Amino acid sequence: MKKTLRNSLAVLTLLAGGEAMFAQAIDWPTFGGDIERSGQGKSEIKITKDEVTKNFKLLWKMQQRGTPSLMAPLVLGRLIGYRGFKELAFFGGSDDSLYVMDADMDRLYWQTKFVPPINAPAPTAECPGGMTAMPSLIPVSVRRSHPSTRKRFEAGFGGPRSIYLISSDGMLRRVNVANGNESGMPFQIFPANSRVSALNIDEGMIYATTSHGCGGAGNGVWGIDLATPDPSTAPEVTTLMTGPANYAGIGGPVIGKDGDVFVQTLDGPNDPANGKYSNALLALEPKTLAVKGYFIDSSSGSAPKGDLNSVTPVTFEYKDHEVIASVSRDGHLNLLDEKSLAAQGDHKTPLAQSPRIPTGNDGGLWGSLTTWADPADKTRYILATVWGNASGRNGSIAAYKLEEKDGKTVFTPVWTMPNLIRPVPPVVIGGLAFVLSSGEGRKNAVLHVVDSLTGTPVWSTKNEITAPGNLTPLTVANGRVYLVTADSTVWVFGLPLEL
Amino acid sequence: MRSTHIFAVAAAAALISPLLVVASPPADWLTDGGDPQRTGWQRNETILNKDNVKNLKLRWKVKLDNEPREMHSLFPPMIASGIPTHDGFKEIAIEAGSSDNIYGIDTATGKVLWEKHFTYKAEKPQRKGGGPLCPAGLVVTPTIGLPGPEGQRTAYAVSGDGRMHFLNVADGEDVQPPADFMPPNGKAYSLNLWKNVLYSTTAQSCGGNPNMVYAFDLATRKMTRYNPKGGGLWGRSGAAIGFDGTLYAPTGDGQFDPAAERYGEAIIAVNPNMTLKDYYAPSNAAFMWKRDLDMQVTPTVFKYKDHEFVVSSSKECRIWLMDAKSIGGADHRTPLYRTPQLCNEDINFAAAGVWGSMATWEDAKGTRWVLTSFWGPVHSQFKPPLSYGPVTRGAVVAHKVEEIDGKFVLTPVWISHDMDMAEPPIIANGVVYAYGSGESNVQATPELGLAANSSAIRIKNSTHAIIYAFDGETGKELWSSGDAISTFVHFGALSIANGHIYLGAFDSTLYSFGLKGE
Repeated sequence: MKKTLRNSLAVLTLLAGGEAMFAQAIDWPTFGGDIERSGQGKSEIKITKDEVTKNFKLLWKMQQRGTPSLMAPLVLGRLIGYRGFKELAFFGGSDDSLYVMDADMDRLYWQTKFVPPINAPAPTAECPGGMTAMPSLIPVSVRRSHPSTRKRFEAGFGGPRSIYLISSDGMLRRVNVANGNESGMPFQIFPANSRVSALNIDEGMIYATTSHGCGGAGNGVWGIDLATPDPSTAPEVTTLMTGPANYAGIGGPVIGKDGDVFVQTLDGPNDPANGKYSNALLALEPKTLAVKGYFIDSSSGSAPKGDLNSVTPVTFEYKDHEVIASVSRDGHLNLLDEKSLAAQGDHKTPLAQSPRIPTGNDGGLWGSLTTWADPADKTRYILATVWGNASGRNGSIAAYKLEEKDGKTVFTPVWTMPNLIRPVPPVVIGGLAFVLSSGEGRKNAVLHVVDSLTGTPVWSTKNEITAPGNLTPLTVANGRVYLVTADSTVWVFGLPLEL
Repeated sequence: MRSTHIFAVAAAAALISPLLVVASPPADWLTDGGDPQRTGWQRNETILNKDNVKNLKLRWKVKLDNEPREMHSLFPPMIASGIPTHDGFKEIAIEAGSSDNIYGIDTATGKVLWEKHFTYKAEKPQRKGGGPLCPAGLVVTPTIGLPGPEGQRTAYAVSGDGRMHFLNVADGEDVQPPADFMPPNGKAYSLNLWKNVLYSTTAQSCGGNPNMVYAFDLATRKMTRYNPKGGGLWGRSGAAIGFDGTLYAPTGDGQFDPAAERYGEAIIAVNPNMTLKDYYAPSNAAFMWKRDLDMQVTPTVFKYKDHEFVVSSSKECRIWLMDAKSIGGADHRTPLYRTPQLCNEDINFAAAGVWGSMATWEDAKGTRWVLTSFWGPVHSQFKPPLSYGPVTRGAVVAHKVEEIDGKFVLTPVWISHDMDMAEPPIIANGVVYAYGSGESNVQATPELGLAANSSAIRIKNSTHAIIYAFDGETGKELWSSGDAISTFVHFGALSIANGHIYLGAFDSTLYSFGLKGE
């Protein structure tokens, strides 16, 4: 370890400037900003309430008319590449394209497009086809905590880095972020036209789920081991098929601090003894995907229409415990202890449960949860994205905090931000929550910034955005907020940096 | 005793040698850039001119027994004429080599008159394997002091163990015992001499040493220093010295936060007593820091229309014209004039932008010229009136200083033809000399990332240097050295003295060019 540190410092001094005095650069490497899917920009230091009030503005926008739908971007805070130090934003496109922008300069850095499978079936709501999986970089936190990961897959500071993606032909592709070239051969992992979830990477493993039977792929969790000694051989793939139930939420598998993988299933027959897990939160062992434990949502059968109350859970630390917050099918927030989940208690009793989140008659929670801890007093907050009905009207963001009352952990409502249309999961950073009302039809998207402790409005884009959002989550990094609208336009708001 | 003998022989030679009777001051080259202001302007040159420069040829080359360290090898020679030696008065080149070697070379013949190896004497062992930026060993271009009463001169050199050496230019003997100057294994830059005090700057934190401005008082043999707490001060020619003794030095990548007394990504003006006098940071310093666009070009200082000016540049590839009275204005962010980008449209940190030092001269008509070299392609929007074909690898650019509506500006006049990694120019008699180093300056590749910044890879991918002479007013090529130089040059510089051009190359060969039939 000591040697590794020394080597890193040696490389630092080899830079043109020779100084280990670089501006801080933050990545947004994966869905939700981290493998826990917290939606929290942990190290962002540039965005403050004062700065947002005074200086936040539209920095640039980019439209890709030829691409039907763009994903939320990933951000690599600093690439030391053959064309210089760059902050790059990566946008996956549903048509198997990947656009990379120089985030400072409003310049396309490179783009690539993979050939989609021949005779792809017509897209449906359940099986949209195209590239469905949000790509992923290897998060820095993972690379730091697991030197083996860094050694095997990334060359450390200043070394080449890759973005991992699944094209619609089911191939795993490792693309060099510096120039868009594939690093090695692609490998067939999934059936073509599968509906693959957002990727999550930890300890040399890529995790994803497939659902809805698209492309003939059953509902399963997939683990792709990148640690193949010979890069020309296909990686080992482990699959856990979980039965007929699809998976909750938009964020794919969630990874806990110790590497356990969590997925939540939706409605269906529940027969754990025979490997059928429905309405269940599963804890899976890293790499093997063996079921370590599960929690059965006893509220099954009471879910609203559409994708409501189908929410990606989130893991975090609370009072020295690793816990999971999830959403029940009838719209409660559950708090689960990771260890008791693994210890297989009664599979039904959460550590804490909120009252049903007020949503209106046909409403429910959507997307994924957001969590953050107030650095001042460590109070843990959870933000839920609420839709008033299946079309997203009368939406809101509901903020709760975890408290101890009478020896029990409880969810206490803190604030609500109402009057949103199809809101997407917010991002919290620097004491501020960034909330996107996606709009719909003639109602365009509006980005709001509110105080994350009180919900008090700080700033908004008002009428500046000229299209509705496309229901992709927000990305926040290095003083910039990225959102995507339905006309395949990326909007970047933030603090200006004089070039 | 020995010196006395030398002076006696030299004095006798002077009596019988009509060649030593000169009417004009010698065109010596006693310090990097030719003078403390680092102008690169040889004011006293009388031999080479626009008409005869086409007749330049290789006079001699000498392969020295200096072992390159990483990519460093020979530093620009310092030239002093009229040095009394056993064999009469000689013009001698003081040539420093990276492996703690220093040579005295007879410029008339290329013969090595003396050589000396500095034995490493620091407690810390001499560092090895520090990469291209931290080669350890001797890294400082020496300087030569004023003549003594009998013409004798002292060369000042810093060895890899950080000691200052005081050598008789005539024979290389110590005229004083070495003195402690700076920590060992550091990366310091060219010495500059002003009123009996030597100055240098350090960078890259090589050897674990902080990046500072250093001063060495020759009278007291004491070192003082100033730490701007920013980036490395790696202007290749060290600090430039203004006409009142103020030092001007660029600070490389680092935070600019004056409230915290951190002056990264700036030009600092430092008093001779090693206190901060003034500073200027570009308004986009945060962006420059983020993109590793270091302020790393030794400024030059000059007078024009009763004003004292400072100009500098960076990897970003703009030129800043500053008033020496207040280099950044009241807010320390506003120069007199800022050019658009000349190059580095891709905002790269390596193989692009301005590296090294600036240059300036004044022609017979009173026009003040500012010269800069750069690496990489010219910016697509930079189009000087005179140009000579596409520029993809580097070029020299000439601006003139103009006063328009009461404001001083830099007006582009010419850009040279393409040069393979153009290096800082020098000027003599209206002729601009510059060279393409032929060095591979790629520091990152898609496949290797920063691991591509290894000396082995870069040496392998380098070619060879070519010196060019250009008309100072038009940029038209007047001469080139062609294939005469067989290897590349890393962080070297040209020297010009008394009709001769000098350049040291990576293979430790020193080249001297002069007129045919000389």
